[in-house]
Parts: sequence; C-alpha cells; structure tokens
Amino acid sequence: MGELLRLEHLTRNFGGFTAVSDLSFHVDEGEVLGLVGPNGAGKTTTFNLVTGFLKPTSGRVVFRGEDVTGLPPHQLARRGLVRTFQHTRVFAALSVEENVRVASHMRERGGPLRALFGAAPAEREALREHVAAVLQTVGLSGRRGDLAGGLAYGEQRVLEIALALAAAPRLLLLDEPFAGMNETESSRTMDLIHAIRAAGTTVLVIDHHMRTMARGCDRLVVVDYGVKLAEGEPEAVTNDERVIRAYMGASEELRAPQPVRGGPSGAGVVGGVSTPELQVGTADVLRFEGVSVSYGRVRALQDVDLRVGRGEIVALVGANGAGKTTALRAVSGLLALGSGRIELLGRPVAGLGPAARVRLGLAHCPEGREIFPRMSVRENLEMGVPVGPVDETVLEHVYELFPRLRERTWQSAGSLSGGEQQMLAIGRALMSSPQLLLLDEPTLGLAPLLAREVGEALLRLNDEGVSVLLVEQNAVLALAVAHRAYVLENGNIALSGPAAELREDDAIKRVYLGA
Amino acid sequence: METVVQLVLNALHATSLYALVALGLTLILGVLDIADFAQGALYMVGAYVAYYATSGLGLSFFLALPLAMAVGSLLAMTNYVAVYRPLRRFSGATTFIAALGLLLILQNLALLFFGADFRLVRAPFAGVRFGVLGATWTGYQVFIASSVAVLLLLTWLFLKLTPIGKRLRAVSQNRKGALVVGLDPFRVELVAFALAGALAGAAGTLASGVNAFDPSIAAIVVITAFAIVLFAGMGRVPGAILGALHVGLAETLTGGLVNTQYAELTAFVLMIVVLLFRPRGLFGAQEAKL
Amino acid sequence: MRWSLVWLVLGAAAAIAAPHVFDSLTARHLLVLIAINVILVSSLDLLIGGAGLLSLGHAGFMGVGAYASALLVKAGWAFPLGIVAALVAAAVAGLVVGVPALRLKGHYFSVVTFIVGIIITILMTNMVDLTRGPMGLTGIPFARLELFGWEHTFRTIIEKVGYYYLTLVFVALALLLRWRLGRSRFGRALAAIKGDENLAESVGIATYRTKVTAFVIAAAVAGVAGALYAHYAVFLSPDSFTFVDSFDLFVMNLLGGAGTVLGPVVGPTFLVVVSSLLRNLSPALSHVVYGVILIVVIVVLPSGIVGGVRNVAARLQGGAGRGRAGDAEAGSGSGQRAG
Repeated sequence: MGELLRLEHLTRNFGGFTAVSDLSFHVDEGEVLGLVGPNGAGKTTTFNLVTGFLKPTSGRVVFRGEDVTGLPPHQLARRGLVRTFQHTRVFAALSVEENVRVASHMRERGGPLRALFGAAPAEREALREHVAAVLQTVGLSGRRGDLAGGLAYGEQRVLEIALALAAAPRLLLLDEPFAGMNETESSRTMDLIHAIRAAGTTVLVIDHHMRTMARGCDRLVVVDYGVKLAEGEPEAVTNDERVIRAYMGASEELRAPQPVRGGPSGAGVVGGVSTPELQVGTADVLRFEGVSVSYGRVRALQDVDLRVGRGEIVALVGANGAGKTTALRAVSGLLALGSGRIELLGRPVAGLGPAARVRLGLAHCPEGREIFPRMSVRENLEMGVPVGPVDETVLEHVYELFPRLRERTWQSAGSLSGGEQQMLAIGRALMSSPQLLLLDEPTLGLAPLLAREVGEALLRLNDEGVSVLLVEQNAVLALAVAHRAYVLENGNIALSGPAAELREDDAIKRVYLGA
Repeated sequence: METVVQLVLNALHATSLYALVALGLTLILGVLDIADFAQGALYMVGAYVAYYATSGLGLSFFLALPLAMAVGSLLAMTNYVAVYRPLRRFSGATTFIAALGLLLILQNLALLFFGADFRLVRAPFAGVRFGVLGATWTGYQVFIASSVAVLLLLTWLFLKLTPIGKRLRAVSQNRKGALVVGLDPFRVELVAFALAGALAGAAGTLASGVNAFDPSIAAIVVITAFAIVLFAGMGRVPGAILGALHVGLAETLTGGLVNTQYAELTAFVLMIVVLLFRPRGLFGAQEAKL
Repeated sequence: MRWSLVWLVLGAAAAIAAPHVFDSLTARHLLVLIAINVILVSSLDLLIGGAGLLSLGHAGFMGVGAYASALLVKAGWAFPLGIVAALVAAAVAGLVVGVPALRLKGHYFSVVTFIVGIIITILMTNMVDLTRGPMGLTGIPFARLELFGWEHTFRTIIEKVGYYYLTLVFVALALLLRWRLGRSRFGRALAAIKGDENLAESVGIATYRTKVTAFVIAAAVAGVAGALYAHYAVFLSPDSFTFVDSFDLFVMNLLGGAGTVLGPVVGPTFLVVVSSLLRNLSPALSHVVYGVILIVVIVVLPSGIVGGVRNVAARLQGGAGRGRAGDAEAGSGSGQRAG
C-alpha cells in the first residue's frame, strides 16, 4: 500500500490573509484520513487547492506520483481524484438515476457524433450495470426514479457520495459529509465510507463531528489557522494539548463579569441614555420555549429552551454546526421558526421582521461582521440606526468604548484590520441603544490580544446594563466572561448552568472533542 | 476630417449621456441584482416628454427636463412595484426575461402612441458657438455637459450625505449586513428605482436635442449602457462612469477618424476583448471559482 | 413516453396535412415561416433548455448561413452545396464567437452574445460590396434539386407547398438531432452543466469544451435554417437578423417550453399564429401583446406551454409528495437557469 496523495508545503494567500500555510501531509492508499480543525482553520481551502478549484500560492500536490498542482477539476477527476461539496450539490432537476448516469460521464465515450448513432448495446448495458451498482452501494436503488431535488436531506447527501463514486475515483474527498446529521445518521454514513474503502477507494474526509471522525478514521490531521497542528492516530491527536486548546480556545487573563444587576425600575442605561422599560413583570430579556428551526431539510435546532436575564451575559457554546448561529438568526428574525416561541423583552416576536425587533431593543452583530466595506467607519456606525436620526451622544459613547474607531472615523471600513472590523460591528450594533446584544463569534480569526480587548469591551458594556447573548466557539473565553452558559450539540442543549461550574466540567471537552 | 480635439469634445456628450443611464443601471444592479432593461424605455420616454412638452405644450426646454425626470421616476417606481417586486422570489433568469418583456412592451406602446417617425427637439443655445483649443463646441453641447455634471454631482451628494442615500449604498454593498441592522429594503429599493428613472429620463431629454430619435432607441441605449456596466464590473459606480467614457470615446473617435459605420463596432469589440481578460469586468472583484 | 408518441404522430400528420387544409397563399407562407422557426428554435433550445446558456444573438448565425448560401448559389453553386456551405459558415462563426464568449458566465455571457448579434448585424449592413447592405440582396436563385434525372426548381413566389415539404424534411432532421443529442452522453453532460457547472467539472466533464461544441452545433443548424430562408424569400436584408429577431426566437423557445423536444414546435406555431391574428391590429400592438404574454407565461408557466401541460398531466396522474422525473425527452430538466 503506497502513498496516494501528498501535499508539499502548500500555501495559499488571499491578499494579506494566509488561509493555508506550509501544509504538508500524505494520504496512504486504502486508508480513511480525517482532516479536522476549528471553524475557519483552512480545511475547505485545502480541499479546493487539492481538487483544482483554487491555485496554490506555492507548494505542490502530488497524486499517484504525478505533480497535479493547479490542474482543473475535470482533469483531476479523470485521474481518479473526485470530491463532494460542503453545501450539498446534486443535480436537483434530474432523477436519482440520471444523476448517477451523468456522474458516470468518464466511464463512457463519445461526443455529439456518437449521439447521432447511439452507443453500442454492450456499452449501454455496462453503463446500466455501473449505475445500478453504485445505487446499490449507497442504498438508493429504491429511489432511482425520484427527482433528486425532492429527496430528504440525508438522502441527498448520500446521493452526493454516489455521484462521486460513479466517477470511480481512486481517491475520494468528502467535504463535511456529516453536516446536519445526528449520531445515528453520522454513524451510518461512516459505515458507508468504510464500505467504499473496502471496495478499493481511499477516502479523505473533512468534518467537525469529532466523535464520528475519531471513531471512524484511521488517522487524523489537525489544522488551525492554516497550519498543521498534529497528525496521527485519533486517540493521540485528541489528547494533544495544542489540539485541545485550538478547539476549545484559551483566554488571557480577563476579569469576571459584574454580578447581575436588576433594579425594580427595570430600565437599562447605555452611555448615559436611558433605554425603554421592560414589560412589567419580566426579568428576562430573551426567552426560548421549545424552539425548533430547520434550514430546508437540516434540523438545526431541536426543542431548545433558554433564557437571558436582564443584565446577564449568557454564553452559547458548542462545536461548529451545533446550531448556535441559527439560534441568533432566529432571535433576529432572519429565520422562521419551525415550532416553539421566542419572547423578546416579554413580547412574543412571531411575525415581527428584523427592523421591528431592532426597534424593540435588539441588536445583532453577525458572524462575519457584515460591515459595509466601502463606507467609512462613521457611516457604518450610522447604519446601526435603521430609522430616524443618529444620536450623537450614543456615537460618542461608542468611540469611548473603542478608541481605535475614533482614530479611524473617516477610513473606509474595508481597510480596517479584522479586530477593528469586529469592534466596528459591535459598535454599530450598539448605536441603536439596545437592551439585548446578540454577538456571533466575535473573536473568530482574531489574535488573542485583540480577542481579549473585545472581551473587555463586552464586560464594560455589561457593566452599563446591556444584556448579552454571546455565541462563541472559543468556549474558554466565552465561559470567562459569561454569567451563565448553554452548550449546544447537534441542535440540542446538552449542558447548561453557571459559567464558573461549566468551566471545570469535563463534559464540555467531550462535546467538543468527542474524546 | 475633424481634429482629434473636436472629436473628443463631441465624444463627451455621448459619454455623459451613457454615464447617466449606466449609473442608474448600476444602482439597481447593486441594490437588487436585477438587470433592469426597462431603463432604456425610460430614456426613450424622457426624449418624448421633451418633444411633446416643447412642441405640443409649448413649454420651455428647461421645464421639460425636470418634467421628464419626474415622469421617468414615477414610471420606474411603477415597474418596480408592479413587476420586479412581485417576481423577486423567482430566479434571476425569470426577472431578466421579465425585464426584456417590459422593454418590449414599453417600446412598442411608444410606437403605438407616438408613431415611428424620427423626432428631434429644438435645443436651446443651439446657435451659440464656443471655440476651445481650436475646436468648436455648440452652446447646447455645453448645456448637456454641464447638466450631466450637475446631475452626477447631485446624485453623488445624495448618495454620500443623505440618510436614505447612505442606506442605499449600504444595501448594495452588503445586503446581509443591512438586513441584520434592521434596514428596510423596500424603501431603499424604491428610491434606487426612482433615482435611476430620473437619471434615464434626464439623459433621454438631453439627447433629444442632439440625436433624432424613435422608439427603437430604448433597446439600443440600454444594451449599450448595460454592456458598459458589465464591462466595468457590476454594481461599481466609478466603473460605470469610466466605462461610459470608454464607449463614448471609442465610438466618436472611430466614427470620426475611421468610418462612422464602424463606430459602434469598435466600442463593442473593445468591450468584449476586455471582458475576455477580466471576466468580471474592469473593476469587478476577482474571485475563486467556488 | 406514450403520450409523446401520440403527440408526435398527430403532429406529423398535422404538419403534412396543413398546407392543404390552410390553402391560401398567406397561410402557406406562414407555414413555411413556422417550419423555419421550428428549426431555429430547436437549435437555440440546445443552448437554453439543454445547457442553460441564455444566448441572445442567435439570429446572427441564421444570417451568416443565409448570406453564405445566397451568395454562393448566386455564384453558381448547387443548392445542396449552398446548404452545406451555410452550415459550415455558421459553424465557423459559432466557433469564433463561442470560444471567447463561453469563458464568461451568467449575465456576462448573455450580454456578450447580444452584443455579438448586433456586431454581426452591423457587419452585414456595412459590408456592402458583399451583401449589398441595407439595400438588400436580390436575385437569389430558387432552390433547385436534381436527383437521378428528376429535377425541380422551387419557385417559392408562386408555389409554396413543395418548398414547405422540403423544409419539413429539415425540421424532422433538426428535431431528431435535438432529441438524440438530448439522450446521449453529450446531452447529459450539458444537463449537468446546466444544473451545476462546478459539480459537472468534478465528475470529469470538460465543461468549457462541451459548451463550445454545443454552441457550434446550434449555430450550424441555425445557419441551415438561414439558407432555407434565403432561398424561400429570395431576398435578404440585414433587417431580418437583428437583435429583435434573436429576441423573438428566445421568446418562442421559452413560450413553447425550454428543454423539451416539442417546445420548439409549439412555441413558433403559437406565436406565429397569434401574431398573424394580431396583424389586424398593428405590428407595434402585437409586440406589446408579445411582451405581456411573455411576462404572463414566465410567471404562470415557467416551463413554457409544453412544460406546463406536462406538469398538469403529471399532477392529474397522481404521485403527490414525490416528484417523478418523467421521461426526460430532451434529456434535461425543463426549468431555466440564470445564464
């Protein structure tokens, strides 16, 4: 069993940002290799580099002894290197059988001329057998005539694997095959991967479901910030200190949050400006009751209960894909609920759009910041007030919180560094004097020092009475600043309680690392 | 054969008119990602408003201009509310086709009501002449250039300084971000159409004094303008204006120096050549395949 | 499959009987035009319905073929050779346009094809020495066939039925070609490209090469249709091949139903009939009605008439909750995709 694929010092820059840095590893024939790492670690970029959808800035990709760096996807496919995609891609308008037939393109010959006379019966028979065999392997034979677009989510993902199989690869690259699946489904899919391996195809998998990956892969390669952290057997890798830190985060010394304030008046204060009163009789600014949300076929949240009390910082942590961002988008009104209810400041928000919720006192600082790149810092901040004039005192207060922004008032937002953009996004969210601030992955991609600055700003905000629902993959940081926390796993609340307690609980490690 | 300077001067008016239309298209593309082909009809309507206002109603040309802009605005907003907005949940191809359909309808309605005769509006300042660097410029050409400059300036100020203008820019730069902060897209989209309609109407009115027109200019102008927009990279304002410059210059220079008939050809061929090397337009973002 | 067979037989019978049922000179003229348009739309459908490529300059290739055949037959070539020349000329044009244009995606591709259509019109208008430009090319010889001693000249000004049947032969060939291409490996590759180009690449389809091939084939067939038109009208002017005409083809394709074999038959028939009824009104009003029909159809029947009928039929036959892929007649789905 020799070496099938080798990455040599693969590097890819996007402008000033290095997504993948000097990455080298190999895949042996016949193994199932897992490529893991926290969100934004560069895994998908690596895939794109290997499969011809991106050209590397430097480095080589060697497949079966041949330098294939930079070859376009279809030529790689012809050499036996095939991939699936992160967001399910099948030919929705074709039937399951047609999908597989199309994907068997390389097993046939001929172009339009042949079309006129038709393929030889022997060839047609061989094709039919091939298609049937593939469908059999993945278990979709019963659905052969159905439209691919009408399949259930799990079936579509399986069909996707079937398409890759039909191309008869030597090496199959699977991009997040377990996304949106629960334990049972992931397990079944992993079995399918083993069956594929048994049939002679080597497999390289990217995914976040650590438990499944650790159990099913022969070896793991861990990357973070585009750099290889560890490589080896799952047992060893998941116990590696650096890996644990990469997944669960770390935090420089931060002070603990102030104990929660809650006076009888019920009004909060931001920067010297009073915010409207809460509904009488409610201490909670946010309440989830039995909330379920689906993205199309993916069950992102299942029957979730949570609450954020006035003046609290509540952290929502969990591995990537657990449903954290979905929860925030549901609060914001960007997603509809499948079932359950959400109450904002004591008021049920069903049917209210994002603008109305902002007027109620909500602000959302989204994952990826979503600033307006060609507008100045000041203009971005102004946009935080969707209707009506901008309150200069509030603006002044934001500048006090984030002095860096004041220095760069007229600079275009796109030219700011990542950390500054994050501060800008938070500042923008504060412009509407919210009572509840939703923060989605504020420290993503930030150097530890900047992450700490953000953490400190958060604490200061909270001192002033703003309640915060903080979503973070960096569990350690989140638990350091929060009063209470919930841990999400595959759309369910797995753990909850005071942050101080959860910090010590080993259960969290299990959720993140499956160890 | 005229001097190059003269040609460049002549080019300016073609350029500036294309720039107005291209700007409107860019605004709509940026905010809604719709290729609003019907804008060509608004240009045409602007020309006809000028014609009927000056000859039929006896109004001064200077009144016809704001009138045409108002009509263009209203018509554009109607298009948005009646056609594009209801179709927004359909695919881009569907909206594209609907836009083509709208263009067809409006162009032919004009044909029905106004007839196919070529019209020309008597332009103000036509008799005045200026000598600049050895070339002559008519008073009306100066008027066009200054009107366009004023309009562009006003639009720029609107986008830069007014709250709704800033929101428009925000939505076109990052729709997701705009929604998250609670911006109401409907208002912004409506304003984008109103503005684009006004610009197209103005361009048509100004053109009516120089080029004889009939309803078919609707399609011709919008195709050229749209090609400019694509060439420059969709949704980017400076690109649209520079692109217009390119086309205006190419057309006029070729026409004057080589052969009038090949004028349009050069502009288009150049555009295609550029698109080949920069498949996302001159100013468009260069992205990875996925 | 069974329904399609029924329609096919009925359609063929109707097509053959038509000039005898509608025996006025005008009606027969319209029939010839319908037939030529069917060939054109069928070729365009290979791109639009088959590959999701919104090509908006197709009439240009028709024009290239028309002028090629007209000029060569005028110079003494035999009519059949003229047809071949038209095919080759249009194919070359398709190659010249397709190779650069297909490097672009989406809106960009569509606008470039639109521009190219305009460029071709400009060239036709300005190369006066060759094409006599806007004054028009007259004196195009009638089609003349010579087979084993039997000889016939199709004097289409007075006698249209014979030429109609000649055209029908080509219609049959074009439809057959479209059908077979759709069901072949090549057609599947196009369907894949239409569905998801990146995914198609990953399963080994050489997308660029496949698209260019399809483009050239479509252009070639359009060229043949152009030649047929040239020897029917025996007069050519660039006015017949403008972007408006390209747009009309586009409308006919969508109206009939992109991605089906029958769509290109239904579309032109419907539109030519409607427009002749509307002719009592005025060309402008008829175009207004076109525009309205287009918008209505796009919204109500996004898959065109044939697609819509099929959907209704499928729903009537049951199968609620699960979409059945149905017989992929043209080998591809019937929805449209942005360029």
